[in-house]
Amino acid sequence: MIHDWLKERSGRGAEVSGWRRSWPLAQAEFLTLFRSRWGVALFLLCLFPGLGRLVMLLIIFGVVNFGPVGLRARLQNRAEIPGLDPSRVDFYLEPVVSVMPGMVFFLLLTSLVVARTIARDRLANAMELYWTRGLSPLAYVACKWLGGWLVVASITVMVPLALWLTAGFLAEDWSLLATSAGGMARAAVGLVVVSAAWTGICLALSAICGSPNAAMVAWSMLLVGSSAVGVVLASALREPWLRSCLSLWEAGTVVVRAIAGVPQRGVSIPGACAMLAGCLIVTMLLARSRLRLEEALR
Amino acid sequence: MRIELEGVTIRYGERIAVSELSTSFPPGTVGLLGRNGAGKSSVLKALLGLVRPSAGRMWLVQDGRRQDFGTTRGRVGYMPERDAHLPAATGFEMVSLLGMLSGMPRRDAWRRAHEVLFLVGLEEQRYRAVAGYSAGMRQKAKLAAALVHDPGLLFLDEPTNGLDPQARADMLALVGRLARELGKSVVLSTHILQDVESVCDHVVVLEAGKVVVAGEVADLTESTGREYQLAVEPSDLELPASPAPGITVRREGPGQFTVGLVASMDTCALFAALRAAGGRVRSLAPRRRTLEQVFVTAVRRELPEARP
Amino acid sequence: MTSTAASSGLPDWILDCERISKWYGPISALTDVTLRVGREVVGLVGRSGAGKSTLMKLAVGLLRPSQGSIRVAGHPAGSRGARACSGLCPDTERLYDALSGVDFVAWMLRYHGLGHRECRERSAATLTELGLGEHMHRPIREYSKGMRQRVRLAQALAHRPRFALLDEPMTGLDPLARRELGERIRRLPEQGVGVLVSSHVLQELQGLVDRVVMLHQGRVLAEGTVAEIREQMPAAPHRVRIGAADPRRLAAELVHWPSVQGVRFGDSSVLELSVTGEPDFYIALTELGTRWPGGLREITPLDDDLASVFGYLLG
Repeated sequence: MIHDWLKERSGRGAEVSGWRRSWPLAQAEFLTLFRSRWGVALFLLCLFPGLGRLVMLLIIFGVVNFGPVGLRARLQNRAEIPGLDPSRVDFYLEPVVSVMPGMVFFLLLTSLVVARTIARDRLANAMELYWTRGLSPLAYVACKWLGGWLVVASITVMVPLALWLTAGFLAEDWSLLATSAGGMARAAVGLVVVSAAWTGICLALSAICGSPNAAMVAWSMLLVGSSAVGVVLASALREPWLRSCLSLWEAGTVVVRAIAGVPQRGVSIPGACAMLAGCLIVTMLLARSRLRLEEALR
Repeated sequence: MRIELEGVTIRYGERIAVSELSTSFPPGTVGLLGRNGAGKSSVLKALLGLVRPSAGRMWLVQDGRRQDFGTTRGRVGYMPERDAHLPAATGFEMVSLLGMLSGMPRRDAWRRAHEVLFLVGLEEQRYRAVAGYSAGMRQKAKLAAALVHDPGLLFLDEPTNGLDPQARADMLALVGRLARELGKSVVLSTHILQDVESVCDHVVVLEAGKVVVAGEVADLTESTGREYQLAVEPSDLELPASPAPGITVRREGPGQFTVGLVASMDTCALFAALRAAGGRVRSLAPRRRTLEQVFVTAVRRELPEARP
Repeated sequence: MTSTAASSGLPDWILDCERISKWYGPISALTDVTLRVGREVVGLVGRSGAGKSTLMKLAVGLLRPSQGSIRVAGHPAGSRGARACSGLCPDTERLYDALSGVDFVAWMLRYHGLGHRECRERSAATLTELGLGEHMHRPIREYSKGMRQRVRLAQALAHRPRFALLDEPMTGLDPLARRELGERIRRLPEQGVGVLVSSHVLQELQGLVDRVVMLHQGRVLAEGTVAEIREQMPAAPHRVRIGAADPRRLAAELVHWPSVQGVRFGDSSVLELSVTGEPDFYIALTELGTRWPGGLREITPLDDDLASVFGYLLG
């Protein structure tokens, strides 16, 4: 007997429903970065600030000893500076919330991955394929957001947590983990919330802009430009708290530190929250008007 | 499988795109025709659930049961007209991901993606990026994506758009196979009437949101009585206007004649006259209406101003 | 090769490509192509990548041939004179969306050195003639695909060129518009215009053109009327469908004919023959028609259209 296996095909199988149905889109979005050599290189590059902190930890705890004579002693003696004390949360937050290197690498990652995604789909008319098979625009954006956030979070959330655990194992006893666990948990929550908000704004810009490159530029301008405006106005008016209200990046870091319970001076926490939430809501509303079902079929 | 529309009205704000449309798309291959803005894409959008009709019902009739169309969307496959693909995906990834989004479990989607990519003839290219495909390959990838969740009903919007003659013929052969061998109901929305003539059994013509013609292609293009088209060689041949009682001959162009025969006559006298004039027959066929004539007459009748 | 230009005693071709070749670096796009267009409609067909778009770009002077010469109405291609008398209808989607149809065509006309007022008048007249009269003051971004196609065509024809190059002019048009545009193209040679038109819809192109040029891998594979090309392919037997009363007896008769290679029974009293050696077959068939009881009701050649010829040559 000759088999015509095209006709003998089996049917579509069981039907999955709910979130499990859209999850593959988020997963594909996450994995896209790791499928090309450039993507993996970019990801590794973004791990560099974390690696710097790791070397610092290794020196402080005496695992390795290199560099100029007395570097280790200097690092250990300056433990009263919060950012250099491994028993405090600041040490782990520093590589991701500082302007340099934190913002630079965050900007690199998001502008090349998240900011391009929806604009690129629009250019390829991919929405027409997605939306005509029962995936709503809302679910589409949610999946893109989740996938993009997973990429961002694997740097901004996972790196501080990994550093903190490493420090815990390097320390002489478990007291370091025990004392900083509460702060770290709150810091992780803060990082999750803020990185999700940043990713959301970036994704919304991607939906608003007509081309991937325009979206990249718009996102970079928003992040860097708002920081510059914040710095200039704050120093010109001698009102340091203005920085946290005008700069998108500062607002995010202020919120993270506030949730983590790190003391801050010269900032306005309600102003920062308002800035972050306001940006997110405005860009999402604009994006919503651009992502209509009618656009799928013209 | 048959789709029935019952008094469907679709409006965008003030504008009424489709008004009280009642028609049915029978099983087999159906050509959906109409001018730009006649309401084709609105009907398509409504059937795909992208717009909600402001009035009317849509039914899916299968095995004698009548279901509301809204609950059966998973059984519809759609191939968009515009070039559409997923950026940064290979052919296999695109088709399998779209299968999963249609509600297939991962392993089923993977298996089916391979199956349909073989079916459309992309087996060699399925691990290459879709962004690097040629126009013909992209068209096939879109068709594979429309087929992956094994829908009973397929909407193909201009499936031969941008294809070269060979690829067009391949695509049409594939569409015919889907209906004939795999038992799919295919709705083909197109402007190219020759495509409809070659693959469709039925045709529905829309104009200004209403059905103006619907029926079997064979019935609509049925010959119009005992009128024949005759082509002869050499092309400068002249034939007598009435070679025998009951036969009339009218010259249409170089070597082209229209022959009228009364019902009782056979064609022997015609051939005799042709031989006497020193010519030879090239073709002889009952005059049929072309689908273009059907379309043009039906649509012109609907147009508000008489066109020249 | 028959052509109205040759038969009316005018030696000048409107488009005259003399043995042109084009290479992009070492890659050959066209090899030794000779193509002439008189006052007629010539169809250009070929698979994608056969060199059609290269040939079109050469003909309007967007590229220069590596070898050979191209003349448009006597002027070398790419010169001012050639540009003034050729019109191109490209197949790209891009137009200036912010302009209205009439402004866009008028603006394109200004490149041909016409005055402002005359540009507007001609632009409006051409668009009206193409059936866009009532919409021509709306911006192009609101136009449908068919209306955009008409704008593209209008800018190709508004300066009354002698040579019109139409690349897939029917794309996106509905059947009614296709028919009207087809009639318009058919009438262009009467106004002294030579037309080179490309299309992938061969069944449609066949009714539009006087002759066709088939390109394959940068060479001219065949040219002439469809019937001429078909006649030069003796290797492919013709398939002819014959309908008559009593098909069994007819088959028994026909199978003895030397020109008939095979007989197949189709459905409902028709026979399908494969035939070599026409015109003998048709002469014999005419004779048979005079005496067959009940008469022959149908004689249809099944594979002498452009699509079949294309399939035989390139398939």
